[in-house]
Amino acid sequence: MNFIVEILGGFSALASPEVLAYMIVGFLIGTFFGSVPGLTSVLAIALLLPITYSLDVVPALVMCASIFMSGMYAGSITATTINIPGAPSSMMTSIEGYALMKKGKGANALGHAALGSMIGGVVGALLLIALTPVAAKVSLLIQTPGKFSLILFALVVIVISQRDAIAKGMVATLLGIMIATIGIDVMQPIARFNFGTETLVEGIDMMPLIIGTFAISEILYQAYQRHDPITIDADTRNLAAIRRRDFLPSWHEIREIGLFTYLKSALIGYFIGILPGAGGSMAAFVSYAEAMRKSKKPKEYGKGSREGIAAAESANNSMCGGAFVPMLMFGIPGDPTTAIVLGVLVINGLQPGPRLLDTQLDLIAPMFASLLISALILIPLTLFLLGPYFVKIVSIRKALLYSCIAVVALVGSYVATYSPFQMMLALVFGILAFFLRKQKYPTVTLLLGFILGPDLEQYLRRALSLNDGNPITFVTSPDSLFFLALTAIFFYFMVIRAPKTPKA
Amino acid sequence: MSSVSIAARRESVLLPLFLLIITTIYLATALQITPQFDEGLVGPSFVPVLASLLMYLALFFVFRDALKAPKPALETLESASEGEAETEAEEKPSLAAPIKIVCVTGLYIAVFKTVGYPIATFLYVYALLYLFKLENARQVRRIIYSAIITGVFYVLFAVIFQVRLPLLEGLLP
Repeated sequence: MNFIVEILGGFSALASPEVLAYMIVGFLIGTFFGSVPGLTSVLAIALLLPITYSLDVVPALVMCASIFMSGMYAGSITATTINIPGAPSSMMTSIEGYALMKKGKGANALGHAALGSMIGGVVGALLLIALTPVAAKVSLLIQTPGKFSLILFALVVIVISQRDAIAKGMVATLLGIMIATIGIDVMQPIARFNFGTETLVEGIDMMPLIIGTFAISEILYQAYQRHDPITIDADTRNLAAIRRRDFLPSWHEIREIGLFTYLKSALIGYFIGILPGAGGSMAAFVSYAEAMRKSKKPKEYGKGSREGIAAAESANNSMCGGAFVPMLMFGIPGDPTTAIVLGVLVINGLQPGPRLLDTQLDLIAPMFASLLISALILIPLTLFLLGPYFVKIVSIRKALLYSCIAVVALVGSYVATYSPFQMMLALVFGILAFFLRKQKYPTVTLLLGFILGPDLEQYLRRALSLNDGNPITFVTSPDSLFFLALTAIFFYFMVIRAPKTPKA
Repeated sequence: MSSVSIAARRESVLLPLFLLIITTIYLATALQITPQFDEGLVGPSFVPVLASLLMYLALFFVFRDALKAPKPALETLESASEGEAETEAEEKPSLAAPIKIVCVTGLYIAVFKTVGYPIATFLYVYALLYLFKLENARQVRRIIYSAIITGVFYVLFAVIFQVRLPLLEGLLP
């Protein structure tokens, strides 16, 4: 009962003009970053991270949630209009959306993307609210060896999700773990790997790592690639001239897609979101493939299927809700965005875990509400109000954009500790991440290794210390055995029996 | 083999080589950690040593994959006309711009506290706009854009979020 009251309190917190303003600003930032190819909602939240030092925790989390939801949806905008997905999770949408765009039905495709995102986002947020107390109770059952095995499971899944780059994923993850070991030891009051410098005794802060990995490396990567400005053809430019009602999908089209498709895709997206490292791209791909498999019109796929758009968009927005569950209850982020949100929690002194619901639900509930309201109201409202201007977003000059990002990233790094050392660290991590990206190493796994590394070490050493160094405890403890078995199952199906990629 | 493919292969080996050196330094340092109290096998150096060994294993697979990568077919290389080669050279990604950005950013960080936010940021933004080739023919516009960006973010950080930004700290008495 108390839980429901607190959740309702979260909605009333959004009625505060200040919090509401942060939610709307966050949504618009997310829409902008999500829709510009090369920019992502992860980058938007990474840039927001230093600003959260100056913000209260509620507006900061509300803003993060709305950026996450809008960023996921906004990827469909350029995916449909210019066939360049604004976010990787909109790859499937670009196949169907751009085909509709070429038939002169771009507005209709954007409407279906928004409707799918809205339904998926709402379902994901509702499931998050409904299942978080259950997840909290389950997390209480997990003991120290089980916690180690759970984190190991998360890290293994993150690495093997990299498909063609498992070894590189492992290198990046281990690099993250190694960076996390710099500073005071997790069990003993001794400094490790500080190389005689006082500045490294306290360890590496999460913020310069995030800023460097996602913002500085992006600037360097864009400079390296030397992209030509995106050209917009006449048909696309005409989108600005269409009427707002063209965005509304017809009732006939919605019935043809069917409520079941929306709900099934949303459920797929939600549960994929719970898996560590899976993310919106996998959610969209799996639900798209499932919708095609069960479709009455499979031949429409690839030629402008509204059902395909609905399935992909429902799933990737529903994933947002799912990704919060392991982050809030176990401190295990499901994807890079929730990894940065975890940083916001930690900066504000909130510790993820089951006790979060007992003691600080009043701070978390507005974030749940923000996810729901962003999906239910802001997605359709943004499309209706700003839809005709979406195309113009990609016309913004990249030089101005990246200069702004560089200033926010570096000054933001300074803001955290008033020390240029943090700025320099951000630059160093930016250079490292640039070379990793250039050689196709997944930088997301670097961040997740950095975040999960200290807990992995702590639970491993604690479990072994309690059992005189005997590792048998990981097999005799039922919760640990469960996660180890789960790890083996995932490894079997994703690596040993992985579907072979067809060679060209 | 073309110079492009040789360079690509060299790059794919250089990064893991760098990581191999870093891992070796890391492992050597880990082995020198002296615990404050005895925890048996699982002391402060346990996870770093384990991570290093796993890193060696992962790097072995990365090296193997890099060396096993298929070489480009000879006829494909020969068929590339001179015109195509020129176009490729023009559009090929280059490290020059990122290196310049790193230098400019390093300089910005070095003078940020001494020169202060307004001057340092204005010059930094100007340099970035130049490197990203914004309106290279129009200096005045670039100056205006630099001033606007510097001003906007000053308002955001110093006025809205009330962050104390350095203002000519090192130059004023």
